[in-house]
Amino acid sequence: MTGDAGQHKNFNEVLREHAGLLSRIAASYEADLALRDDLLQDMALALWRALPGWRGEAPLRAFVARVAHNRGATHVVGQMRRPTGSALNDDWVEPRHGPEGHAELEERRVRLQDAVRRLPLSLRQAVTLALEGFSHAEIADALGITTNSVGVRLNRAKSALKTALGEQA
Amino acid sequence: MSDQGNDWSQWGELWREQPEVDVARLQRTASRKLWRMRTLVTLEIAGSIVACAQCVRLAMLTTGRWHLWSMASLVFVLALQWLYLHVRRGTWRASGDDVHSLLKLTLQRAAAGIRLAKLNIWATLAWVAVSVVVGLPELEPARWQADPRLKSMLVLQVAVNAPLMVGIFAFYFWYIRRQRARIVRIHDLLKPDV
Repeated sequence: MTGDAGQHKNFNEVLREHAGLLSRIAASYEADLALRDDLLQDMALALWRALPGWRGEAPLRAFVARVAHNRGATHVVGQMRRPTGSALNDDWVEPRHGPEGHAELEERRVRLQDAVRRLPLSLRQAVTLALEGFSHAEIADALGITTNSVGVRLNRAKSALKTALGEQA
Repeated sequence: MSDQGNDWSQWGELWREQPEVDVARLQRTASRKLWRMRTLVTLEIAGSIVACAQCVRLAMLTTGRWHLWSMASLVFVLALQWLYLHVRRGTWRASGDDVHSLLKLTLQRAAAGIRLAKLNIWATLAWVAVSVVVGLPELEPARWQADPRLKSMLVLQVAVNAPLMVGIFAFYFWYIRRQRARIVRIHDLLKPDV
């Protein structure tokens, strides 16, 4: 990619490629569907504004995740009166899988999402990136911490997730 | 693969199973939001230009104390606009920095915002006091009772400026409270976990 990679990369194309990533990161910050939708739009806008600054020195996916997390952190600071998580209920299980066989999978997914959302911010950010398949080095770069810290955070998060998901730690 | 790797791998697969996003809808709504933000900023800039133009016009039409008052008002309007831009800057900026740096920056901005809001409260009070002192001769009852034009102008000034002042002060107090709460929240988020 050239030095002005961000300027040449079409925003709509980037958004199309990374909409799922943005949506999942938004879900890790906001339980309320309407507010999550708003947050997702804000993340898209933040990306539109930040994209010209991307010089191709980091993978685009890591850059998008970083912008999304920054917007998510701002959202957390702005939503001070609201709890970060919510009890598992049917209201925010988005309809996706019709057949009953998928219901269990859907429930596990929602439980995982809820458990991630209940983690402290620093652990949550590391976890969402790990779940997206980022390497420890990429997570460290995105969060501005050392790779050792990433390992420690992920270990702590793993215990917390196992407890929250009712799995054996 | 280790148990550790298995957990993350299984959770990762489950995590990425989340529903598809309607990208076209996202593009449409984000685009609408962008235009709304642009429209608001355009209106604010237009409002600032009109306010500044009014001050300049008054400065050109008046002499003596009212000329000085107009010039001071121009400086005041510009300072106010700078504060509003400062307040909004955080919502416009999209950072590519790491989250920790962003939170620290947000903390600094919140503290600066409180200082600026307090400064503006006192500046607004000073501006009102100076305006009253400058306008004392016109506020003499004998003067405005004998001059219907002056009377209606004074009534208009009070009718427009009094609610405006109340609104501005209410905004500042709300803003300061909000920023203080943000600072507490950001300090919590910045506590080292590792």
